[in-house]
Amino acid sequence: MKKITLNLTNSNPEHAPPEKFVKTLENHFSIHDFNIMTSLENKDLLTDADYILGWALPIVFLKRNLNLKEIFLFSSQVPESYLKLNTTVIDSKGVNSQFVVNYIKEALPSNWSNKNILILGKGHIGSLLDSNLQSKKVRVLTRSPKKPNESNYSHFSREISQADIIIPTLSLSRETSKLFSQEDFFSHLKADVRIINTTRGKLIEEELIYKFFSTHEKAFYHTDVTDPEPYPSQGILRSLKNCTITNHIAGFGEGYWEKLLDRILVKTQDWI
Amino acid sequence: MDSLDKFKNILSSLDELFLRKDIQKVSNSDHLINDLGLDSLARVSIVFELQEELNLNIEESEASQWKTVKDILKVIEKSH
Repeated sequence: MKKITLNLTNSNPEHAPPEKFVKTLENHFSIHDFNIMTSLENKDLLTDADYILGWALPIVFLKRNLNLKEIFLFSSQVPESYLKLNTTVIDSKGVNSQFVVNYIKEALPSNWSNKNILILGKGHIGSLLDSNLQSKKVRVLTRSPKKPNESNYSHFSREISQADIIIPTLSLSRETSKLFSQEDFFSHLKADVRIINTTRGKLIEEELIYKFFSTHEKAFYHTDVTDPEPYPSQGILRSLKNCTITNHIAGFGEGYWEKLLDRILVKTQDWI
Repeated sequence: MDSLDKFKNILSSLDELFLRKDIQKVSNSDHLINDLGLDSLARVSIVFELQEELNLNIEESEASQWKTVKDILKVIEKSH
């Protein structure tokens, strides 16, 4: 019998799975010691688990489990800190991509087809968004971080300064978290730029966002991601009139949990 | 060993959490979010590691108030 822990610990109430999803997993793994963790107070459920599935956990709890064979993450991005683990980590990349793209399309202004749109990054969501928009005014900006002049956005100031709408689709890492600097990014933005962010709250420094949008009233910041989540009522972005904040809902369109369940059942066949 | 060295020493195994700066280059005045890129999950790891290493009980409400490295160093100093 294997020990499997389903981690549902998540501070965002929007990310709670439906009962049917949990029941199906309980039944699926019923021949094993299957446990559900809903709070870090039950972190003992992680210490000797063979397999963990669910939301990302603080790395410190995973490092201490020398028994851990595999992790299945509900998120599409594996935290950079997980890369040093001696454990296979399966992400759920692609499960929510179309939902995120649909959300972005709804966040676009009605006259978007006349606007210069700059998509930053050509991963799963960047490519899908590009193919969904099908506009000649869409430009996808990709970099090769190893090239000296592409390690940041200083080389792309022309593209950034011409964009009416900017949509980052980059994953969060040590490398990408430094891209959105005052010098290389914010100083080149159009005064009425619209930024739509569905990536990670940590990707763009909040103080720089506030500084730009509080001094450019015609610009607009539409974000689905903040840190922390849910975003606190006293957070500085709340004071901006030209900012919309949603509570990390972009990837959770109708049918998301069913798609995720299908992915889990396929990817965890070896766990049974 | 001063508190900052102790901080670096205890958390050196979690270096990968410090998105914006190597842990060995961290200074007292660094902001945990803006300068170091620590997110809420990283903060939980740090609290847990400090509790284990220093045999401390750190309340979640206390840790959520930390803004800079200096705030954490005060906790380390108290443990001396």
